[in-house]
Amino acid sequence: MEKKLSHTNYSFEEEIKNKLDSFEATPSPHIWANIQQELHPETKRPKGIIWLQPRILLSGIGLFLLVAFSSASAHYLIKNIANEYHLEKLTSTTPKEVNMMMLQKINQQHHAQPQQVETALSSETHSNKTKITNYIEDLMAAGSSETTEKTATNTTTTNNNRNTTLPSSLSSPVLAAHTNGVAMLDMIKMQLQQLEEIETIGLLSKSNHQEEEVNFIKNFYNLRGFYIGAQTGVKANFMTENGQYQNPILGQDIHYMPNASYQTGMVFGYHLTNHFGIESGVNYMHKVQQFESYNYDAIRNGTMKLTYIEVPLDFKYKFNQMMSKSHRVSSINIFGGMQYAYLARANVATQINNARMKNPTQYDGREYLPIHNLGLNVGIDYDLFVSKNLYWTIGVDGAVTGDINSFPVWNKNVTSSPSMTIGVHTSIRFFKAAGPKPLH
Amino acid sequence: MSSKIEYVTPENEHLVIQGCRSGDLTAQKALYKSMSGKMFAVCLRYASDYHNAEDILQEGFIKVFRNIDKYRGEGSFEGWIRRIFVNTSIEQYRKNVKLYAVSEIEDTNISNHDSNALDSLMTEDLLRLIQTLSPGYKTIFNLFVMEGMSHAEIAQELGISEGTSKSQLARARGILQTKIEKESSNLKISIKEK
Repeated sequence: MEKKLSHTNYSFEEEIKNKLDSFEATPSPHIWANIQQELHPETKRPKGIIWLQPRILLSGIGLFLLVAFSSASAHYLIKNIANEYHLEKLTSTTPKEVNMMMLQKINQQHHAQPQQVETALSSETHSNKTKITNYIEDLMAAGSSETTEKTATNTTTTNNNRNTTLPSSLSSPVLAAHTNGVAMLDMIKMQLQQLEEIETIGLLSKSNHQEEEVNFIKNFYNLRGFYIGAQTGVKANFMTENGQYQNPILGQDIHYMPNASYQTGMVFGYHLTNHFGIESGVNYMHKVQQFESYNYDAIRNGTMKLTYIEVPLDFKYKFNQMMSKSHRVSSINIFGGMQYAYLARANVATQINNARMKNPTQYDGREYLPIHNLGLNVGIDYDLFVSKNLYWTIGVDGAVTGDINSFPVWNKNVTSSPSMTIGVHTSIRFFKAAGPKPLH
Repeated sequence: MSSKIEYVTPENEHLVIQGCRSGDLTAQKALYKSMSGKMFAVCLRYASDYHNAEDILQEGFIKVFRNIDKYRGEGSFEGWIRRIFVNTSIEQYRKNVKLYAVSEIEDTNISNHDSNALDSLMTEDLLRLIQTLSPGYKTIFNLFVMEGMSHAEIAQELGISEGTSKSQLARARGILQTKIEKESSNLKISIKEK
């Protein structure tokens, strides 16, 4: 090739050529991926790489925390039960097994009563002993409060076609022993009934006034029902990997810094049972993201202000309990689910580091960021009833959100990385009980 | 090819070329890693924006890998690759832009321009200013100044007359110099204010 530069232009053009000849720029990482895909369409990702995908890793961590917390909570409750009922050995690992142990313990107490009665009758004749024993056994079999009342006035019982008449010559200690035995039986039956109710309503109390508490709960709280409330939260948000925000202005080598964001909106849900619930809502999420980008033409500082409209769908598991002094119901909830996030606004401001630009460049970043996003949520929160229709919630939560096109996660044509938020939330919720009326 | 090769060097160049010919992914990646920086700079000069430059880069590398059999070892390998990227850029330009004929004018005398203005600019700023030229001016300026092509060669490449090539180069040069001086002047004011 032959070039003929005029004398006057030579230095100018030669200088430009010299400046640009040695210049190099780094393209986005996804270019190589595209070339590779074009040249080797059959190429699949190495098996190990999938485990390094941040969204998979984070989902795994979330699931692990969910299971770990669930197990820890179950263990905590079992220990409480064991302490309350003086169970010597705690070898069980599930609440159901603990319940079985409790019943066995109570049965042992129940079977001890006839022996006490027998001791009291040691001075009676053999015939009398037989009659009394038959009488007590019949009472035990019938085992109702009505029978107990009969015991005090009439001395005849009927069971299995056997008519047992208590001799009039029985001494008062014997009668007292009978009465005590039956009273004990009734008390045991009542305890069993209470335990059954406790199991049903999901309340485990440490209080000594168990009966009062159970009645209180029966009368005032039914945890199944609908709720709606207002929610707000503060979050830290950051990109899980650099490179999401690639565009001609910012370039490809971007370093994000975690920043504070806030969230506000409404929440509603339904407690399907005393333990399980489903929750949704509409949230306005304002994320602020600071970054530094290294492009072919400059180093820039920038700020992204992103506004998302989020619609989560979470499933809840509730561990209910009652405050021993205030008699207020509270519950610890673990929840997890998905959320859709729509990028409503994206204001991006950048400024070149050398400060030659007086004003930062501002533009709409929606062109470069995914508009429709999908995410995974996980969290723990705590509910406290301030009245039977109103409760307060506070908790921590985390979410990983990415381009909706990146689901399923193996869609490697999507190069944007997900963003992550971790934060706290609080809300006040109005609760309307539904389903069966409170127990009486 | 040894899987340890990550970048192309004069010593392993023939191995990389051989690997690329047989479709070896490691060789292709080594070539990409070694050349993508330089070739992306070429693409940025011709492209309208960053995304467009990436499109050219992607298309150019696919052409390189698919046509590497045609490289016979005559001339430098880098020069051969570079030519593919320039051609790809020109193809992109032809697809998207119509070259408007302008009246043939003589080369503009630029002796009155500030010769220090260019020195004060960073390479990145200069590149940005070149990108702002209209596609026709930019392509001819790049082909003439950066690729060293003559007006006859440019005219043949772009399907225009030599006169059009000359006039567009003159206008591109004038516009670019004005932009450079303006940028340089803004920079000086900014420094003084500080």
